Amino acid sequence: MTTSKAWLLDFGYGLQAAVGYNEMWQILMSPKIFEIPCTPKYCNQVLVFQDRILPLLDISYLLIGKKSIRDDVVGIALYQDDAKKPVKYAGINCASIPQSINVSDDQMCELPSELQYWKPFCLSCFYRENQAIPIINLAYIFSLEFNSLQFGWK
Amino acid sequence: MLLNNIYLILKFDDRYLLVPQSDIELVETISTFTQYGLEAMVFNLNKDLLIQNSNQCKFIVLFKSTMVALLCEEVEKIKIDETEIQELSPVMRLSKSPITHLVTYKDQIACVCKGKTLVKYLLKL
Repeated sequence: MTTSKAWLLDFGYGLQAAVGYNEMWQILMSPKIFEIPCTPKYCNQVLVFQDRILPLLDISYLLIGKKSIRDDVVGIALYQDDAKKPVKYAGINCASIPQSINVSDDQMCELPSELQYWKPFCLSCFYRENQAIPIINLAYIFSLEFNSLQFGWK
Repeated sequence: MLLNNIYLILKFDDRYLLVPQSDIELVETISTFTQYGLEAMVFNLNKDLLIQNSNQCKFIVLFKSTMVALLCEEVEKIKIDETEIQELSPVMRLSKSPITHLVTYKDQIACVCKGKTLVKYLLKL
């Protein structure tokens, strides 16, 4: 049985998901946030991190149309569009500090019907403390392809 | 990538827009521009890039090859190294948006727009 480490992310409103242990670089408390006009409401802010301007994703707004319950906890996530391309960074609003957890193969499960709103960007899912936890496909959620699907443009 | 590294910073309602200087026909005070007798479509925007009625602006910026203009509180010419300008993340793009890139400017974030795209956006407001 294989066990992997992951980060459990809490977005408030009962929304939880996980990312791979190597996909969360750092947690920032109360970073300076800037609003950018003419952007989707679920990603209308940026922050500056190590001289990069990063998008800040509000997953609760994306999923259920409710703004993140806190704006002072930001996870800096890493993802790659392609294994040959450089790593990219992005901010994710969290409702609490992400928690390091262990996930084993025997915890894996199907995405339950009541969590189907995660499906477009869910890599897989596992059970933890009687709750199904989706694993987020970060590269897809930050991609133009996903954005195009949301807004029907290319 | 943008082709020109000389920009005008257009400030209004705490929003900074960065437009290539080559896309701008002229910058004048409103009183001087009025004396020219030109009939331009003049837009006054808030920080959300929506039309507002505030009268804080002193300057008028006329875009090249158009009779479309934007009111601004401050206008400054700056040179920016292309490496400082970052493409707007794909997740933040909307087809109607005139913003293509972002750059840090005076502890703020300035939004980079091409003149033609900004004019197109203004004419749809």
